[in-house]
Amino acid sequence: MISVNINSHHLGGNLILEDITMTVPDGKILGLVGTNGSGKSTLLRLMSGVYVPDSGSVQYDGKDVTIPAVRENIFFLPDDPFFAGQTTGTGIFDIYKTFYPNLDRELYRTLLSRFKLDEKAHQRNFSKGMRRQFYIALALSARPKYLLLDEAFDGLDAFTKKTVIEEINRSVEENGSTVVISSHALSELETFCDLYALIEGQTVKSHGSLEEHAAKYSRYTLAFTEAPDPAIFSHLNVRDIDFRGKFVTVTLEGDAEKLYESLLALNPAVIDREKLSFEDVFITDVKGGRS
Amino acid sequence: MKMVVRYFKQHSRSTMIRFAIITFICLVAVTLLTQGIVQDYNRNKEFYETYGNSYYGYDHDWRVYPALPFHVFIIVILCTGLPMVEMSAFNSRKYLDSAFSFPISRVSMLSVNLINGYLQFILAYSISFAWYAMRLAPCADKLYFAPIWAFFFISLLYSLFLYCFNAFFFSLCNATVDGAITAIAWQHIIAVVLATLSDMFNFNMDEDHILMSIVWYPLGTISELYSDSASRNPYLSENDFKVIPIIMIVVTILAILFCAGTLFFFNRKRTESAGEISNTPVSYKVLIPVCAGMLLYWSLEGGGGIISLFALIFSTVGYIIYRRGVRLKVSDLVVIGVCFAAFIMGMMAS
Repeated sequence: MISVNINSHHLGGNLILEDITMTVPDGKILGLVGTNGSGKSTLLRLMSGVYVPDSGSVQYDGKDVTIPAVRENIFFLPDDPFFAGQTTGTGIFDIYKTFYPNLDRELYRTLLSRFKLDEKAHQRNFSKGMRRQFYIALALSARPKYLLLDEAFDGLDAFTKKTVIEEINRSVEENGSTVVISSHALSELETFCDLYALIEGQTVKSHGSLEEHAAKYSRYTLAFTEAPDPAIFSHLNVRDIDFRGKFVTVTLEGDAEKLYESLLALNPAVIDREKLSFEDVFITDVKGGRS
Repeated sequence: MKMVVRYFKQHSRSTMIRFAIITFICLVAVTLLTQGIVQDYNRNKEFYETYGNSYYGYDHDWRVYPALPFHVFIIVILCTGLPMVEMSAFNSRKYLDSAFSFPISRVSMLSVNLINGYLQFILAYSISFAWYAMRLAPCADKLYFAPIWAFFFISLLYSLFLYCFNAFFFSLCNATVDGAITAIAWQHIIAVVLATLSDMFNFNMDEDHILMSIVWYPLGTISELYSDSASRNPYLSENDFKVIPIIMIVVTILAILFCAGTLFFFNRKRTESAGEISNTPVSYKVLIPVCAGMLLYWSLEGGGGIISLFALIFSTVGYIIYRRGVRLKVSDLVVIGVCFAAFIMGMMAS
């Protein structure tokens, strides 16, 4: 289990994160989401031991990440991994094999062939997306207990994204890996993450089950016989509302059934409930925080 | 420990080509040096064998000078360059993003890099020194080899100090260029400050005292002594050698202190600052005003001349262009102001 308790962390004198408290149970996939510059990458660096928090700690199974032996179970893939131009896939594998003796060369080769990458080719000849595929193959070949991926889908095409998701799921099933993944590709995260953590305003604004969180909100489209008075919605916990003449699209927070009853009481001609995507939930969360 | 050994093996393998290049350059340099010495030896030998030792009307016991100070040059270059290349990776934020997440402590990682660099130095230097001794073997009738080998072991100990001294400044700095400027400048800065102050306030320090404060100068002096000794120079007194053990004890203590300082500061290094302008007080924010002040003083006094002034302008502008500007905080401006004020006051007093 990963336990994050960070009181504060500054970069260049600026407060980046504060009061971060969350846990990630074993065998779960957590999607780390947030707007640009919200501190997702910083949090992952703190979780991987690259940064040491100004105040607080990150623990894996009760042991601090600053202990080198703890990091044997953690594989961190940064958003822009270091590479030397003349290094080949084999060279990178050998370097990482030093630190992760369990790296599986066969699996690495299999994954590279799935990504249609030549193990012997020099990294300088590859695009950013291709280099990322190399490192993802490397990360998955390590079969780590904890896998931390920063902007994992950045620069990947749709086919590769699908392959990566399949391989992450396989790693969780076969090795019981716990995965923390930050990404702006919310539609992809929705398909395979069990948990989410929203970083906003230098802290974890909310975290928990993706499903449960999505159930917090309901979106309805209502059609009235004439343009409604906005005040009729004032008694509801409105997170977002859009008036277009006789039509109203409203996102509400609370128990869906009760909200539905409340909306019916407003006498709309038509009422339709929409399923919110994770992206919608994310936007609603962020908008709520900024309003 | 197992991980440290694995990393050491991997790192040594990955830097093998660099080691081969360094050794090759050292061997070429030594070959060129010894070629001149052996040629002089052969020419002199032929001359005196033809005309006898009393050719000039008196017995002339000709000698071969083994040029040991040349090895000091190799030591200074390698003991500045090797810690620089070993630590340059730690000034890349991208590299640290991966390296610091590896299951090895920062201190162990740095120690491996530094030990690898120093071992490469020892090997390259030893091979080239052995080659040097082999090349001088034909001159054996005119050389004592015992002082030459004694110098070799003393220079190895001294090189450890130089290596740790330079590594200390590289560990404090966030960028390789900053580190190089700082390490090289601090090799000389104490001596230059002493020289300037002595000149300004008439401290009556002699040139030798000042020169001894350049970190590599004592080794230069020792190399001269042993060169003279190896070539049976009659000027040497026993007193000359008495000071050497004292220097070596001081040097060993300083090497340990600088090594400890390097590990201490590296462990506290903020990863996110890698590649940034170094924010340490010993870096550019002190060096620029100190060097500028002294060069200005020398230029005005005629000591450094116009070349110093141009050197100052060139290096300062070059540094600022390299850094794409120098971000000066209020505290930096205070340091610069105090440094300039001190030099202006010194100039007025002198």
